[in-house]
Amino acid sequence: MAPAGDASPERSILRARARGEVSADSSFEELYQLYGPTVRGWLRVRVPGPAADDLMQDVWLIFHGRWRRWEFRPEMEAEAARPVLSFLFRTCHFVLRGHRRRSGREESVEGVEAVDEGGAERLMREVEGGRALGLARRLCPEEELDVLLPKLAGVPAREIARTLAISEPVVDHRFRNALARIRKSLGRAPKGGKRGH
Amino acid sequence: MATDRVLLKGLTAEWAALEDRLARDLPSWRPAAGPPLPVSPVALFAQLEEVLDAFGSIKEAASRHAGRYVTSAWTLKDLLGHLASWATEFRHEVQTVAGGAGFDYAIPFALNVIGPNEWNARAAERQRPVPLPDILEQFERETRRLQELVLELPPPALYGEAEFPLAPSGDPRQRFRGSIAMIVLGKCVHDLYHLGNIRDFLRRLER
Repeated sequence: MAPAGDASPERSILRARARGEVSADSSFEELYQLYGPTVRGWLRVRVPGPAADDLMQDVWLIFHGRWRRWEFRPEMEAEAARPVLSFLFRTCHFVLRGHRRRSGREESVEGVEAVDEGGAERLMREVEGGRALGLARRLCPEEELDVLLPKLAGVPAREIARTLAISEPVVDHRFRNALARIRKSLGRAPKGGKRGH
Repeated sequence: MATDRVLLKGLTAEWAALEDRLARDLPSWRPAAGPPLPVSPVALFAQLEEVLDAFGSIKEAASRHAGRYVTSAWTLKDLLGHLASWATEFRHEVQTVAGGAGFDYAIPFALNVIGPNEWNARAAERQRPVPLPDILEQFERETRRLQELVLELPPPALYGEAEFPLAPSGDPRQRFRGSIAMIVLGKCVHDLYHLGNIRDFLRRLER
């Protein structure tokens, strides 16, 4: 395990690895345990069906290669920095882009692939304590989900902006728009619904 | 806004619940035994996308300092030309192998330095008269073509073994045998190495 201290779990793992206190493999496993559910969540919300777990393997395979030659830079020591989480977010974004391009190509050649929307919807229902995330998934356009999901997972706005090639004010704008959209829809929810209290 | 704070709190709690649920049956990141996972076409595409992203992030500043020397022999423009020449070479190799053809040339690596310095020197000479915008465009165009190829090619073409012109032993008769996927990964490592150095160089200049 990473040494205990006041740093975030990611920073503790990074420091331990930079000092040679842990091996590349064991620290990779720790990062996988730490962020595996986050990456899986990002992909499950965005990609219906079993393809999400295949894409998750892609993201971690890419990170595995990078972790072996990871550059420990001083700016990564900043309080709010989450270089690994940011790298994973960026890689998810690129992997999703490739997946969509490939799916589009296959659709045009072989017809529309059957999509297990039901499975993803069921998962969302299972895990939802409330309805907001489900609403976000249904109501928010891609560009707003691109901002909302990493924000919820703690990716710094600067890294979101960099990955999406937009400015930080645009990140903020899209985030607020997403919240407004969800708030408006929750306001319209009928009384006595799933969350009637 | 107070309602937004409440909503955000709710969303954050839901996200945490989702992560908890997904952590319970988190799959092993790869099979414990057996051969390493093949790098999927999507993963190859994503790594080329990262290269393009890194290239995009240095383009503007690199254009301002293109005439600066990065080594005793090469300017930054020469180094960008080097990246563009290799982008064309890698794409050409992949397309040639995918089409079932072979190569009538070799690119021997000099044994005492990193990289094939004769090939690099010739390519640098060819790129010197080329305007910088064309060099930048060449790199992006060729890398995007490679992205299209990795998504188009069937798995046997992507992972099958073939002979490439690279001759890392220095002997032109001993050419590299590997797959298109390996060549693409090699390009990514090559490009990210140089782009990282360019980024550091530019940071030092603009500090």
